[in-house]
This record gives sequence, C-alpha cells and structure tokens, in this order.
Amino acid sequence: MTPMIDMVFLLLVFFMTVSTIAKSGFQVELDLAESTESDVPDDTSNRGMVSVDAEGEIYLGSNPVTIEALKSGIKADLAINPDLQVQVRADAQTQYADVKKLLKACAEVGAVEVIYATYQQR
Amino acid sequence: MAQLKKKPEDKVGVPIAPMIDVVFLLLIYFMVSSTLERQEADLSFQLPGTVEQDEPLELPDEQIIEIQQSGQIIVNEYPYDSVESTNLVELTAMLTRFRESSAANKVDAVVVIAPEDVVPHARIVHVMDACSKAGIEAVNFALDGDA
Repeated sequence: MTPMIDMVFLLLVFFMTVSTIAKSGFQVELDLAESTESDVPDDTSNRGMVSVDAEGEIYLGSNPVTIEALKSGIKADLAINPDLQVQVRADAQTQYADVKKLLKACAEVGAVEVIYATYQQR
Repeated sequence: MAQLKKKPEDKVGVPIAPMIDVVFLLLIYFMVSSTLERQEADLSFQLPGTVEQDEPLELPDEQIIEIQQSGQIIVNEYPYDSVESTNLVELTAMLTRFRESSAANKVDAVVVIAPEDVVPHARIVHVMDACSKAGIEAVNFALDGDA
C-alpha cells in the first residue's frame, strides 16, 4: 500500500506543478476568437507573439509595450530572423482600430506574415 | 465493561482508504483540467508589403468586404447574412462564385476586409473563416485611414 500512495502523491505533485508553471506569466490570458477554419500548428518556430487585450493594451510576449517599442522590438526580431511570423493574439472583443494599429506597425517594419491566434470551434 | 473499554483502542491508526480516495480525486481533477486547456490554432494571412516586380503586373480581381459597427457585412453595397449569423452562408456562397469566376478568367481572387474601427475581432475572424471556406487564400486588410 505505501509505495502506491508514494507514487500517487508524486503524480499529484507533478501535475500540480506542471499546471501552475504552464499558466504563469508565459502569455497574456485572453478570450480568443473562435474559428472553424483554423489549424493547430505543428511548427511554431519563427514566431513573435504579440497580444492585444479587449481594452487595446498591446503586449510583446507578456510585457505591455507602446506601439513605438513594439515596432523596434519586431524590427530587432526581424533582423535576427527574416522569416519571422507575427502571431497576433487578440481578444474576441478587441476593437478593429486596436488591431489595425498593430497591423500597421507590422507592415511598416516589414513583418508581412501575420497569424491570428484563435480557438478551434468544434 | 472491561471489554467495552478495549474496543476503541483496536481501531487507532491513520485511515488509509479515504485518503486514497481523496488523493485519486485530486489526481484526476488535475489531469483533466490540464488536458482541457484549449489549444490555440492559426489563421494566417499576408499584409500588403513592398514586393519586387519583374514580371508584368496582372491585376487581380478584388472584392472589398465591409463590416459595419453592428456586424453587418456589406459587399458592393449589398448586405450579406444577418448580424447574428456566425457561419455566414450567403457570404461564403458569394465568395465561392467569385473565386470560380476569377479562376475562369485566370486571375487571382483577392479579398480585402475593411471593418469599421469598433468592430470586435471575433467578427473579423468569422469573415476570414468564410473566405477560407470559399477557398480564397489572398486575404488582406484595409489599413488606410489614420489609426
């Protein structure tokens, strides 16, 4: 009995830690839009993640940035990796004006490959 | 009386079975909640950029899809689908015809999405879904106007 309890506790602790680590600070929590046509990617390399929340606040990775800082950030990433794709994570309620600002900034610095992050609708 | 006194002493010890129950329950809870987290999926498109041109330019067929504040979709001043519709059947059918006619003329079918500033992102994703369903790969956004 004792070894089984040991093992079960170990698994329990493992899942608790993994789930908290996976959530913490890695990306901004958003309620993404639902899409019927999107695919879960196999290859997520060459990506720069930009998030926009419902209030229009822009995040590069998980840090809130101004549009100017965003431009220089993407520019720097693009210099290192010319195949950079910008993954835009916008909340379902984000207004187009805020997303447009972001798209304009991307186009201005030459990052033309854009991906919208969505949830798959089943 | 002597016998009655003895009885409780026999049962002293940590109750293992309920503890295992609880631990298993927690274990299953965490396993399920970790797998239930929804995966993010991709919808990609290309922004208009500067491209070098060494072949004569063939003008593509272009349709501009407007999205009004209410969520109403307008193409060539004609409204498609209702505001509540999320699968946009009419728009998809129209875009499919548009792609087929463009293919018949051997030109690219290009769609430009022009939402009003206050349109929520979810609505734009619906329209992109409709384009994808219709088989149109060239989707663009109208970025002009001051943002």
